[in-house]
Amino acid sequence: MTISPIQSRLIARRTLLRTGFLAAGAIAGAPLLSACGSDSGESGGGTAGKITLGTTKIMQFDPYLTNTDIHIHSFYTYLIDYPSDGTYKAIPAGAEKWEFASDHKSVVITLREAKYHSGAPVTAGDVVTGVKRAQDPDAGFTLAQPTSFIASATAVDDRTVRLNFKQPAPEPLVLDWMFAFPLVTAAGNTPAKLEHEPAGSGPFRLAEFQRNQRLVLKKNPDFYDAGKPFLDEVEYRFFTDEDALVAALESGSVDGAAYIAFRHADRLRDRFSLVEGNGRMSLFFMNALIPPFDNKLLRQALARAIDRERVLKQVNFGIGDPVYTAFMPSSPAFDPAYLDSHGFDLDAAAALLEQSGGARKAVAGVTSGTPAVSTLEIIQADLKKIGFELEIAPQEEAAYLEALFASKLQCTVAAQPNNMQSPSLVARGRQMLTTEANTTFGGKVPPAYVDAVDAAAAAIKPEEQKAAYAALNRILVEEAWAIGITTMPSLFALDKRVSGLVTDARDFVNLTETKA
Amino acid sequence: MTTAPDVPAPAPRRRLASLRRFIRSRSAVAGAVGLLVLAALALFAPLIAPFDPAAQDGEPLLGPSGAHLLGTDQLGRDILSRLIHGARASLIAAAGAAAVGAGIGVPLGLLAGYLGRWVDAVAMRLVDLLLAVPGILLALVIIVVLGPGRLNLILAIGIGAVPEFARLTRVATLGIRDRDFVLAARGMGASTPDTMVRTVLPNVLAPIVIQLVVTASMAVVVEAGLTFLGLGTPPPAPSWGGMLQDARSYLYQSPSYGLFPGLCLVATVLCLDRIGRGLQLAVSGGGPNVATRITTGGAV
Repeated sequence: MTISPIQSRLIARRTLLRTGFLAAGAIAGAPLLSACGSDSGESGGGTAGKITLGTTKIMQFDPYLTNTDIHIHSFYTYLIDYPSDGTYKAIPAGAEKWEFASDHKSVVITLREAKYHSGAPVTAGDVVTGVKRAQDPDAGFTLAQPTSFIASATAVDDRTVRLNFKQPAPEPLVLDWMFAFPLVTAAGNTPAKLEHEPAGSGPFRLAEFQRNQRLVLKKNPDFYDAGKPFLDEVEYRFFTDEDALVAALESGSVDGAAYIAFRHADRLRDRFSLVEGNGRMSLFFMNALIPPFDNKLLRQALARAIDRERVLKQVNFGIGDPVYTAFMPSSPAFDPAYLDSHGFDLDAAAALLEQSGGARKAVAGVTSGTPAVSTLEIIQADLKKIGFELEIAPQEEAAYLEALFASKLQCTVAAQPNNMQSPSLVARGRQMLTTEANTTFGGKVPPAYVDAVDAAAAAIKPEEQKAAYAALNRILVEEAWAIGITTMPSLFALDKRVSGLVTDARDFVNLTETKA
Repeated sequence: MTTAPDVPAPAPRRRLASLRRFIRSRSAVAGAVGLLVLAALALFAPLIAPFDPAAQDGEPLLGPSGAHLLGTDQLGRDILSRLIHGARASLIAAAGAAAVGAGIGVPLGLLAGYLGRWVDAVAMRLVDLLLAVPGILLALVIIVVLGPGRLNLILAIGIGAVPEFARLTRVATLGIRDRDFVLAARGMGASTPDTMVRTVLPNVLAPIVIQLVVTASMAVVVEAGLTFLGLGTPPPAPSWGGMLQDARSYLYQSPSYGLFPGLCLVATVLCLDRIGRGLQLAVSGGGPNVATRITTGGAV
């Protein structure tokens, strides 16, 4: 059959209309389809004693590793807890009591009588094994640096353990360590064994786990705190797309959305309870191993060109607080005076840039599609005003992380965890280490920084601590490689029937007192 | 009985007839005019745009107003200026990707179709290899390996378009390589490269031109998609895909923000689509289009 030009034009118009309708339908239907896409297919919604939370976070079970935010407080008990209000008053948890030696060189910890999910009792031997693992740089992961002040751990009896320190250690440092130290069965405390199954004594037990689909937690009837947790069951559903997660929340498919971006806050505020967690910090890192950032004056110049207020307003949607280096406002070392004396000042930045005499061009690596790109665009525009050209090179996340850890990025915007009440813990992150593993300085970590961290970790008396923290602040601002931008509280949107969901000082979810 | 000689009609007469048929298609003419306007906007963007597209001087997320006709984005940049400059990214990607795709695919298809035998087998297996990977995935892999940037983006999209050009050219070449005017050229002593370039290529250009437009249209969408994913045009250079990505975060605060780059993308793709359709009509004389006839081996 042949088609005449007229018929052909008609068909073309029909095709045009059809294309238009298809395009409109696709645009309108995309959010709906994406909402369906990541769902497990089961309808959610809270029943008495059960909630369903959605998240885009990846996870694994080993509490010594990262990516444990959503469940670590459910599966594991720590030696102590801190209140969720951002203060640091120690609350007995796995440890019933603790007593510091008068010379601050040791602490004796008495464990609470408790059982693991396996039914085995919690013993001092488990703590000794846990400390040994944390002291091993290859197996200790995130606990390695915070454990570095401990010389040895000894089981005094079944429920009493004694920690000996390398030198007198301040109580806040020891308490922060106790807060971060999970109780794990000695037999199960290896990376291989914890890869697939938790081995803790926390308020919830593992009921079911389908990777990237769902995680079901059931109440632990043997939890030490009688009557808690309040919930019988918690189900996490894993979403690959945050918009799909929020759509699932709005459709009632889940009772809460965990760790969502600030951009959703305004839209969800009226219909859901928004909970802000303690969060982390956003920092601008400059790599002193790669020119032009081997030039300290140039680093100082760029540090003065970071407009924190604009980032707060235009990137964070007004959520969070400005910071000048890797200390949260709740840290005893946080000195707000630095926000004025070393805050945003393009004239000062231009003058320092002139003095530095360094190159005026650099490339910033960043994960594509994250708010860090917008933060860098603000910095980029301000630097352009003073004659410094910052190129932004967005990368796929895996490629970015590889380059970051291999110290191949000239500069970047990255997150840094809370150092709680021990400013010496600032040296935890890879860019902040005092050893040659530091990805910003390599083998040339400024000796004054190493000394300041050591002094902060050894300051016992309040006046010593004050002086040590001031010195640490001075060197961090002087060396200017880790420039604080803002805090980044985590954000949860919950059905209004859900209450009591909090995050701890490290921003890990705690569901022990959650009700629905 | 005498047989009509197997020679193509004189080129000027054929071109004139094709042009007439193209002009008779109003939607094709509208598409061409639209594309010309877009090209002019892109070319003269610095003169036309009311503001520097990277200047963060305005209040963030302003709605359309006298000062900013289409409002401002989250960093206080003028949306209209960014749209005008963003046309450059889209059109450069479109033209560049089509050129890369044709630049590699057409010679490959010509060689495969004309020389046949092992050359054809090797060329088509190469094409099969490229076809085995979805275009967007191939572009993503190339961008991840080479890194983001305008040139790499063009390469990534263009390489994904090579198979279509190669196959189309091969089939068209196969259809005419044994015709009398090609054999006559050989008989008069023309070398193989000379025959391919001077005799065969001009007679298979029609479907290739249509494919150029189709590829350009696809490239606009892929460029926007990759930039939407943060792997295309790097900031602060404006791109419609990047603007859509930014606007996604502010739909609640500024619903109109995402509308404008979306409309620009739809308009550009429609223009290219209409031009492509017009070209099909023009070269096919109103019957089943040449591209379809060729790609299906004449079985329509």
